[in-house]
Amino acid sequence: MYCFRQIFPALLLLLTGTFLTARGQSPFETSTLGAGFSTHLTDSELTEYWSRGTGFAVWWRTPFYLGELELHAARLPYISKEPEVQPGLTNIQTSMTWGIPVRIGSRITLFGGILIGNSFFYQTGKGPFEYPESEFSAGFSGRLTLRLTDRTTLQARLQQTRIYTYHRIDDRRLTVGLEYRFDTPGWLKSFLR
Amino acid sequence: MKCHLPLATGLLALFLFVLGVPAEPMAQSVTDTLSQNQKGSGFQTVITGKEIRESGITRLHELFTLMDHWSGYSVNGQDFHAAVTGLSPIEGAGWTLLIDEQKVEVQILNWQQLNLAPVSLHQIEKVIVIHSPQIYQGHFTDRGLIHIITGRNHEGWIAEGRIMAGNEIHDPGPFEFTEIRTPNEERVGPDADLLLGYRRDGWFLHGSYSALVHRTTDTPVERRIKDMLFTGPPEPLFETPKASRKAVYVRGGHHGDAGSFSLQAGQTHQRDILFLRPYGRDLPVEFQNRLLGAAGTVPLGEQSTLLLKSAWQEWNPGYAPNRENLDLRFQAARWSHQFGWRRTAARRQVEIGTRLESTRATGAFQQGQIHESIWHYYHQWHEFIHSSLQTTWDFQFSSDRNSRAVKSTFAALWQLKQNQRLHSSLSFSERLAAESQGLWFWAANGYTTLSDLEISYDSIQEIRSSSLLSASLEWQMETSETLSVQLGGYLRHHRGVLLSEQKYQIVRPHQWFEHNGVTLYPDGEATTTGIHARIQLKTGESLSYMLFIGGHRVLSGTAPMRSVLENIPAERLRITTSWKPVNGFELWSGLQAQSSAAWSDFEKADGESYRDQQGLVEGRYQMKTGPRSNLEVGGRKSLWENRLRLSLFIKNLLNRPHVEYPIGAGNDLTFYIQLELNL
Repeated sequence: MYCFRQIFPALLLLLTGTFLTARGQSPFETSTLGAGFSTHLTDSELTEYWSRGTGFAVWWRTPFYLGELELHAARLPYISKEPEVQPGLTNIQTSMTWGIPVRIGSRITLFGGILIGNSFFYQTGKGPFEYPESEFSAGFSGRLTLRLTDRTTLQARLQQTRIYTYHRIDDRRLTVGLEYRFDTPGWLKSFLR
Repeated sequence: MKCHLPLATGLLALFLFVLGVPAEPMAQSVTDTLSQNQKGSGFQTVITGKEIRESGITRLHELFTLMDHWSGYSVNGQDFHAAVTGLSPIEGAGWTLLIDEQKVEVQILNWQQLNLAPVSLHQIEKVIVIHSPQIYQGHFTDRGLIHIITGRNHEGWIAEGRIMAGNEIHDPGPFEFTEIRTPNEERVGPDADLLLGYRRDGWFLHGSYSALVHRTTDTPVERRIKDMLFTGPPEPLFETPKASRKAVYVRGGHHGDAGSFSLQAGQTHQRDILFLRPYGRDLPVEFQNRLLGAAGTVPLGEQSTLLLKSAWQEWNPGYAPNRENLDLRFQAARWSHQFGWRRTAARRQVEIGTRLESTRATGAFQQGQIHESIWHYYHQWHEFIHSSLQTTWDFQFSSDRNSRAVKSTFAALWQLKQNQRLHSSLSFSERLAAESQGLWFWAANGYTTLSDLEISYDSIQEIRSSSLLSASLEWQMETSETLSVQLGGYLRHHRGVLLSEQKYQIVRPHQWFEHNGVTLYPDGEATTTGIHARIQLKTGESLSYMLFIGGHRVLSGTAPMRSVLENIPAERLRITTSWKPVNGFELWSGLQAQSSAAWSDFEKADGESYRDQQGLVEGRYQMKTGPRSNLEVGGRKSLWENRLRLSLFIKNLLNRPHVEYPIGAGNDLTFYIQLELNL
């Protein structure tokens, strides 16, 4: 029920936001693709068994009926401290984020949003895992973007994700990367709408 | 005398059929009444495609949760075993499945599984469910009948894709092989469906592909089956305990004034882990199911129609690796040809027909090949006796090379008042053992895989026919489309039912059961009764409710038969609400519950110790697990219809302990709420 209390307000917010649309921006009008490096900021129960490494992330975001919608995927390595007991891991975190961007001046934008997603753990070598371990995740995302040119931006993102395994994994991650914005192709826009 | 009975009744029917003089047209013709029956009255229920989608079910076998007159339970969330109320799915439910008018066999070794049907849930236009003995399209429905009708698309093209995945939280994650490991939780999917269809000027062609995966990682189930999936040495290998299904179905044809015809083809491949009762454990099995069918109608004048149907089906359980190398494989193929002649007049409709079913089975049989042919003659006679009374006489005679069976139903529909109707039926039916083609029928015919169970058939000279005497009553009332009430009940007497009793003992260190003797009882006999009430209420244009409540009891019977029937969930409750306050916003909610299944054989093992092969899980076998409410949150966006649907399911609403039987878990209250928005 703890999980329910956390998720329900987020869903309610998302739903309310969707209700309040149909005015203002045109959804899916532009697309922004980005890529960058991603690293953990905090220790968790995971780091008792694995050392964390720096990985990379890719994302795509677009204006939604209200706010912005973003799909995000990150690949993060975990190096086993005892390879003979537990294998090294690759963690793929996928998420969908919805939030509100706020412009500050002409070049800087702040963004705050909620995310839901899934976290997959693959073993990197031979070991006892029979198939990827996967678990639901949810959390918050905040970012700062600095416009470099008309179409390119520099982004720094702080993401707090809770992975709902029996032993919860709270993951705070910093991602820095570059983005490129373009008009969404007509066929994709129709499909999304 | 018995041999002359069908001939005499057939001739009588033919005589009356030919000489029947249509009387003056009546306010309500036979065809009108039959059409109303198709809408769900008269011991039938119609589940529409819309109702399926509103209920939130996502898999074919979950259709059983919408069949109020059926009892059933799921072993693993992937397979649902059900029988029409008062019968037992444990001993082979025996219901008939039609897909677009063609009979499709979905039973293998007493497990009848809707998942073996090649259709996708999302292409279903409607499902007609019959829960009382009668003839439906030439099939006698003494064990119930499910007719799936596909083809949702109207004029023009339809293309639809769907993908679904689910996951219970609280998985062990990467900690599985650390000292803080915890049990696994269930994973569902990914499931995918693809539908394509075209319809224009009476011509139609539509098809579907569906794929489904269910990983049985839930610890109570996994710990029972994992040892059986151990296929080493030399390489220790545990197969992933999962079930999967792939199905493809295509149907095309033409409907017009000059008649209709259709061709259909389907194939299902399913990998499953079945609980095989004689062995007392779950076994991995591969299934194949292929279907080809053709059907047509030809009008003969204004009142008569010729009906023709032919189908070929092949089905077989294949081998899947398992610890003891148990091999269930055999191949069965069936040809079926049906010929009927229907004549409709203002106050009379008669259909006479015959059907021949020829089944060949090979592999795992001592004789090498089994060949069974069953011939059926049937007629169905609807007659208006009076402006407010319609009677129906259904008769079927079935014969194989060893035995004969007679099935007959007399039914009456009384129009008590403009808005009240009373359905009644009295039925007697015998059932050939070859009609069921269940586990014991194959075993008695030399199916060798069961030979190590050392079952003695001495007490049974032959697997004999069983019989059922059934009386049903249903009262319906409708008041100006705001309230409809349905009250009903039945009394059934079963005779000559073949039952098996297994004794089990737990096998250490594994967590499975070993058979400790199988006893067959050829003369199971019992009397059962049941009642139900269904109330639908509409308040204004926007709000409607439905309540179903039903229960059944075993009144008397032999001890083994009582034991089997009393294990079936006895009570069932379903409440649904639909609310559409404004255009573009719809909301549905539902609450359903049924009493728990029980299985006394396994209750004896409560408290036994177990340990799995890897030594990772050990403990004491307990029939009950701790309370755990499940929460399911889902979202679906239609890409072409601008619709967004959100759903919220809460299972085990009262947070009561689960009873974990291999045959299925007890179910507590389930609540769901769904809403749809047009964006």
